[in-house]
Amino acid sequence: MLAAAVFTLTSLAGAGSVQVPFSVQADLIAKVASFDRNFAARAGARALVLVMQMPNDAESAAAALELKNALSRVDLVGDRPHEEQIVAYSSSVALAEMIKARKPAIIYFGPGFGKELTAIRNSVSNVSLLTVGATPEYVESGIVLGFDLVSGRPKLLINLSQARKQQVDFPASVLRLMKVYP
Amino acid sequence: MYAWVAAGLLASLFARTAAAQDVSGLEGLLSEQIVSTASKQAEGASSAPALSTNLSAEDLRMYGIRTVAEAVDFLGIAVGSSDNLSGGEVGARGVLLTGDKGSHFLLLVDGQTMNDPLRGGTTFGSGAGIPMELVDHIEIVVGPGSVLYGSNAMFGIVNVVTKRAKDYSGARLIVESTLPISLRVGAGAGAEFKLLGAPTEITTQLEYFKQSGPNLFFEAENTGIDPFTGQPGRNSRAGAADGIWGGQRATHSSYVDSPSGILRIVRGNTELHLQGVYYRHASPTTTGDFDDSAAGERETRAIASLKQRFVVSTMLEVSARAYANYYSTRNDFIASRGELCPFGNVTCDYRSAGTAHWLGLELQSSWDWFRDSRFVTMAGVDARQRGVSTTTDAFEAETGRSFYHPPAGLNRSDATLAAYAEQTFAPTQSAVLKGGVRVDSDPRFGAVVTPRLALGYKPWEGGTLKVSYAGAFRAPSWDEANNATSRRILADGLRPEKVKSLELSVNQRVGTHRLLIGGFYSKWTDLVELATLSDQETIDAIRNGQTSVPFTPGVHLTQYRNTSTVINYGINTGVEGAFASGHLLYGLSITGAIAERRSAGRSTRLPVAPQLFGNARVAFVFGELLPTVGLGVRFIGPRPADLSSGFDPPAYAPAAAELKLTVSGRAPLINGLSYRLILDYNTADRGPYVVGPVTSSLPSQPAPQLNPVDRFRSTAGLQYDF
Repeated sequence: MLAAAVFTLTSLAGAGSVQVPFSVQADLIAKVASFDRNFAARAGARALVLVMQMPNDAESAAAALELKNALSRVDLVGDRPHEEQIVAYSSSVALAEMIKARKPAIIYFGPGFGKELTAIRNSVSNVSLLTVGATPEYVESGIVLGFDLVSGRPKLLINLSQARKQQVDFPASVLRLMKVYP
Repeated sequence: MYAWVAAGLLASLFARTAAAQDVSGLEGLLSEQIVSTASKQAEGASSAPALSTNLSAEDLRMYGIRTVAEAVDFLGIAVGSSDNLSGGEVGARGVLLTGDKGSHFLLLVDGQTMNDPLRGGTTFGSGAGIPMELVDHIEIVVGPGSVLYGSNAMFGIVNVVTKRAKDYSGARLIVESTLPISLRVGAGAGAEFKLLGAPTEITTQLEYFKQSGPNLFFEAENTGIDPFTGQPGRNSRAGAADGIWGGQRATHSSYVDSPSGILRIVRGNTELHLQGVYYRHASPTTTGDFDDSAAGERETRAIASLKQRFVVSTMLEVSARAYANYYSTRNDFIASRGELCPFGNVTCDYRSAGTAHWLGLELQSSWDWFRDSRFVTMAGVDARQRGVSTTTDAFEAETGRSFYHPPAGLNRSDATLAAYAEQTFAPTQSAVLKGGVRVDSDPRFGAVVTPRLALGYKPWEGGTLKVSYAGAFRAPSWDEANNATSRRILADGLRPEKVKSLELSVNQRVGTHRLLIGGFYSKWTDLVELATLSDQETIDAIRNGQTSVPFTPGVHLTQYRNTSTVINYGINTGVEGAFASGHLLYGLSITGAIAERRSAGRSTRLPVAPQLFGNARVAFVFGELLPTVGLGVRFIGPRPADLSSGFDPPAYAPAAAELKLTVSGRAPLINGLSYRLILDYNTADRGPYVVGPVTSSLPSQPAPQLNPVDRFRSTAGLQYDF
């Protein structure tokens, strides 16, 4: 009965909440971006990383802050100096306008975006942008790159069709290390 | 022809290596082991405040691992088990405490304690009820770990983490047999779905394990003249009183019968874990009657927990875990010899039984004070209500008539409280300092304070230097501290065992290759052992009413006492990695350790514990369509036998190497069917345990008999995924 009560009443971030430590995610983002053939052109002299935060979601806010802190400790992202900023998400339309205006190289989505993924995917398609999600479910729903923890080791996931739409282009030697969603 | 094929394969593998060199840095990051046991939060293994290693599901499968004990033996660093033909024992860093029933290691499944509430014991063998197919990885933390976990984590912590539904989706049937002595059948499933609008997942596996044998041959032991009857002793119910034990194969008393099940449901940040295990087992190696099927133990474990995590703000995260743990046991010891059963020509059944439970609530919080992950405080409290009841009796096996007025047994309940805190401070990008302390309050003893201080420093690319000081304790079990049996009097003022350890290690990552080298020094104090009373102490105990057993010359009573100290130091090293884009995997670990037991002014080497041990492994992964071949070797140096001090010269078990060759893969033609074939071979024919009733030199039996080893076995397993 207690179990049923807790299962019913608690607010939820999703069964696949963040598994890979943010420091490891930051290291992986920094490293894997350097293999994206279009990253240099996209990032310019200084790579802008936007870390999205869902308003009124404490877990999303905490995750955004942790990832931003972790990225700030990394020297280079995709072999570029970098700057990361936390941005509150309001809508997919506003997101598209912000991308157009600020031209980020990477946008990261932490927990709390499960219901927005389709709209986000549609709004960033055909834009040169590496979208990164904290959990495996995001990649299935159209985020280009994500993380999973399998057998106690981090795993990179990629949505290949979405990657093509967003001009993210990894060589085969890198794709071989990833779980690929066609 | 074969040479050309082999050369071609190797050329292909190394060609892939050359092509993949430019991504070695990324491969290195992806091979980083993520652990969460040492600090109760996810972190890289190289940064954890203790020697932590992950054994992956892939390794478990391709190296033919069937139990947690095999996993630590063939894949672990500085940890090893010893097969006593009665469920096995596990030690670490060259210390192994015989007869401890696993109570010096904390065994967790998804963070839930498997150690029982009665004796604190656990098993790492087939009776653990842990289905390997459901295991995502096994985390091993070597060294004292009580700072966050309390009692029992003296050798360390083994945390078995089960798979998430995404990695175990669908249903599957499993059948595996170690021919012809055991059979394991199981069914598992995993699914993801929405429950009340929220993403939910469920994983489960039920299995049944049955083993009959191996039918090992035991040499005849002559127990000589029975001090009670003045005649040669009787060593079986129907046998003649000829003093002979063994001399034939044991065909009735080597069995395991163990159904088990595990269920995990995760909905968002809420997790429900249910687990149940029944374990009936016996061993022919006892000092009682030879090969009596009625001797043995029946254990039942049931575990439930419900955990909820809340992210309150960017500064504060809290979690609550309610848990329950139930355990029951019944142990039958059968004897017909007069010195063990002093009632004439009858057979005695010494039966002890007990049940115990915990109900607990653990609250934990994590405070990121400056919201930058550099200064984080973890604090928690763990309150637990406990109950225990035990009975013990000695009766005639044929009639069920009690011989003695049985001791009252236990019927107690109480509550314990623990509080812990650990501070993480990262002053620079390359240094992390962790300091923690835990206070455990148990009404049976004074408060126990357990500290830990660890420094991790990354002085160069891929390298981590770690220094740590940590303590741990084991609260004497209810059975040891508060219980008596017909032949064991109540302990007097038993204190918790303690260990303190200092260790230094260097980890280096080069691409996908990892090297570890470390040294350690530990001091164990107040170790609890079952001491044999002298004749005078026995007479005093009878006079004081501490037992109803009449005085019988040559028959001794026992009592649990804090008797000894162990000094332990040594080095451990390990290397593992992959070549050829992950097609060729290897690993090697070696531990050299000294462990001296000091008691009553004497210093002796610990029995059964090896001074040199380790493992090596190599696997070839040819691809999804071809079989994977894994070869694992576990080696153990020579070691003194348990109870060997009763003989001159003391008995030693020889050095041994255990080899395990495994071929696994997908079956051709049948979609969803996979297989695993395992060959096990042991180079030694004797183990480190003195078996049978002769445990010290007798005129009729001056030399001990060491336990025979089941040297060669083959195992075949099939799994069908729907």
